[in-house]
Amino acid sequence: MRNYIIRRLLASVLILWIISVAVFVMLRIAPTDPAILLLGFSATPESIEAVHEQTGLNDPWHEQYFDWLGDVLTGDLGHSIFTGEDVATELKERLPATLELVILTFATTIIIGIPLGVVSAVYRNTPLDLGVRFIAILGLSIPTFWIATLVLLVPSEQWGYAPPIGETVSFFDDPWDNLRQFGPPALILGFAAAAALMRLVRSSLLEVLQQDYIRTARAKGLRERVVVFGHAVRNSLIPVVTVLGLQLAGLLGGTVIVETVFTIRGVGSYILTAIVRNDFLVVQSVALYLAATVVILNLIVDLLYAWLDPRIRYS
Amino acid sequence: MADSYWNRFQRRQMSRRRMLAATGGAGVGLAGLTLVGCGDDDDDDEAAPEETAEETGDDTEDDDEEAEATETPDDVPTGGTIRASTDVGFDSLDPHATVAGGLVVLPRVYNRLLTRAPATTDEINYDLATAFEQPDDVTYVFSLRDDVVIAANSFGVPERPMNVDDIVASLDRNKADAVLNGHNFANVDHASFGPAGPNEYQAVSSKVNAFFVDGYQFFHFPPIELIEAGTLQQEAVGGGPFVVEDFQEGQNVRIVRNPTYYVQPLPYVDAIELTIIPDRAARRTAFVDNQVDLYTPENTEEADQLLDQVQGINRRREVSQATTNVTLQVREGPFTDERVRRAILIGLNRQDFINRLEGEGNGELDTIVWSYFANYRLPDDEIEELQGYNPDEARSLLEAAGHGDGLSVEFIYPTPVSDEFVPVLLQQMADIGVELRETPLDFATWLSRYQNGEFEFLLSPNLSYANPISHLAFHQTDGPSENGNFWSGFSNPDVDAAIDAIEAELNIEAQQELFFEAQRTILEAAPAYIPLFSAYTNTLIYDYIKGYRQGEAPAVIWLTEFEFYIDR
Repeated sequence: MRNYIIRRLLASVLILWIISVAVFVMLRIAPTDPAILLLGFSATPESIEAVHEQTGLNDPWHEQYFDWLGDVLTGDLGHSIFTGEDVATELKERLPATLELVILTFATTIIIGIPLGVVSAVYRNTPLDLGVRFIAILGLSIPTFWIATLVLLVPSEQWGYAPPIGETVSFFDDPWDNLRQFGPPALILGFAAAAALMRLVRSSLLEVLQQDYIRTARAKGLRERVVVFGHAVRNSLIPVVTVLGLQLAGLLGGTVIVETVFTIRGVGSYILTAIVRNDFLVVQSVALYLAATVVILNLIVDLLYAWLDPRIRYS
Repeated sequence: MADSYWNRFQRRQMSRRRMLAATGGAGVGLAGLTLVGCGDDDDDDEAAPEETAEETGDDTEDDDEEAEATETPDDVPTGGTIRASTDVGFDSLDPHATVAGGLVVLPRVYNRLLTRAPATTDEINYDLATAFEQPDDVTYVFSLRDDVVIAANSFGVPERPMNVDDIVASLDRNKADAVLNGHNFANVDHASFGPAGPNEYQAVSSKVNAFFVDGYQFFHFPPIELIEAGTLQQEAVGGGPFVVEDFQEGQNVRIVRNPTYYVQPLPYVDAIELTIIPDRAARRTAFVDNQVDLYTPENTEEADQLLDQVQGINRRREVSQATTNVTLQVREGPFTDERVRRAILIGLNRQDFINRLEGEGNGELDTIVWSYFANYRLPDDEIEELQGYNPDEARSLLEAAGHGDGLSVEFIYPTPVSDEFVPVLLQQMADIGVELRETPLDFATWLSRYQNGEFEFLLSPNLSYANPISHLAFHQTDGPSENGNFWSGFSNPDVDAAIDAIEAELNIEAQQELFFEAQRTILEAAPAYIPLFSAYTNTLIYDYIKGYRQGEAPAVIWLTEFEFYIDR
């Protein structure tokens, strides 16, 4: 197991390095000069040159890359060329909001996805199953930004209700307003993620329900509830763990749109703004940060998977 | 984000404008609520010239506003917070570097020498200056006020009167740093600047420039202590009517009343909160739910719908200061031929754009000087004569130029652009035999290509400038910034001479006539920069916000207007 972890850690470092190079190169080969974006229509050759000099854009690529990487390895994620803000400080300020959104979304995903998946499998090919599958397809196909807009507009226009818009409300300052603000986006993201999860749970459980040991359990005269929940569901959730891990990682990127729509000051809206204005140091550092989070989450999931399923551990 | 660049450019252009009156009465301006424009949305929120507003506004509302304007200060309720929203953030409190939303907030925190109602040419509102004199054509001597005291603060800046050293320090800073907004103004437009006496400041223009002093209305003066400390990005205090209480980059800013502001009892409200809400649906929801006090709908239809739906709101309807333009590449390719440019000029059906995009009667046709500056825009009959829609003539011109079988050019535009706009343009051009090969670009790439002249047929939406000379600058050799940036390649000595003549003319009536003459010259030369139309902007405001007047200048950016109050 230790060797496995070491191998995975080494692979993770390699992955992060590849990602850092890829993001760096993509930002440099983009046709957009951040100096022009910074200066706008007042740009002159002289002022553009000054920005290039101040931001190090005149240096050779390899120097820029290793300077940045060296800073990152020492904990300095750099500064925005637009605001001068320290990226690490900004991340620290914004991370709690994104984490809360991710946690609420994750909880929503599990609460909706697993029970509906089980119901759908147990009542296979019944109207209930069809209804659940319809909901799943709906969740997978409706664009998040569209449903987010509806969730904002419809209650406001029809019933005069709106969540707090504008300033991000901390849970510790005002728990009720915080939940009013974070609840709708968490439900929207959770619904989309739950749709995929319920389909997976359904197919996994159906497969398990065909297994010999389930037939044996039934032959023993166990009640169906015990067969399903005591034997089948538990085993069917093993592959679900992997998907949940990936979904958790994907949620970090999925918050971008809803954070913007619901004016939540999180990491998603931060990187979106940075990408739009080609704030390259911010994009590089935040992308690497998110990539590291995803890699670590995947590692944890894989370890969890090995712990849950002895067959993998032994292999 | 786009707005920020328009604003920066706008300020660059403003340096070319001149102050026509050499002296004037002191005091702050009378005009109204700056937040009408700043609060909610785009640059085109800004108010229009009075005559336009009267023509398009609601008579009852105008009467109400006039009644409010006669209230004496003693009658005015004080207190409360005005809550506005914007879709563009601002990233710094540095008055010399900030863009977009910063231009909304910082004029209320810092002082300028003077400001002027941009749609007029004769009203000056003095701030740090009490007057200025012009001993010769290039020298300007400003007398300074001695009672503008820096507000109490925690940044270690003493509560002392602002003085000439603060002004010179700001000019020095901008002159030294090419990245700052005022670099060209301080470095190129000025021959020199410095103290002229114990309480006087002198600026010398590098050439006779009728629009020179205008640059100062966009120049804010922080205390020299903050400049020397290098903390302007996060620390802001001055002698303006408000003080920054809270600033969260990308989210909101809250400014509160400066109790020692030199014009008492202003301001009437305790605070202004500006919240950044990027999503339009969220801004609308926040307004409907009364979480913000102002909202600029996307168009008149949405405004009408909200007026029916939401109780206790009223509308300000004004012609937009912004327009949308087509720019043709003249360095090479088909548009080097004057006949092809003219074909485009008269092949564009501006009325069709208005009817299909805004609704009939919800916009005005534009020409070289846009509709916002009605006093400088050519009369309708001349517009019809010089650029009237004539697809048959356009096709004939193209045929004469050797494009009888059609013309195909690359068409670039920044996204997002109205989904409805581009198809109308494509269809109009197809009708005269011009195929536009669409290349939608992200804003940054589009801007870069625009700056470098890498385009054939370009759309630039929502440009907004504060004076008519800025409009003409697009037609001069070397482009609007006079450095080759954003230049179509169009160059015509007669046009250049006509623009130069305006800049050198000090008499306002004569200058106005020169504006007309320059536009005729440009239209006769078949311009490469073609404005299309100006839509009407609707701003919805809750009834309890009072004390502002419609049509008295787009006070959003360039006037320190804050006579609004809350009366629930």
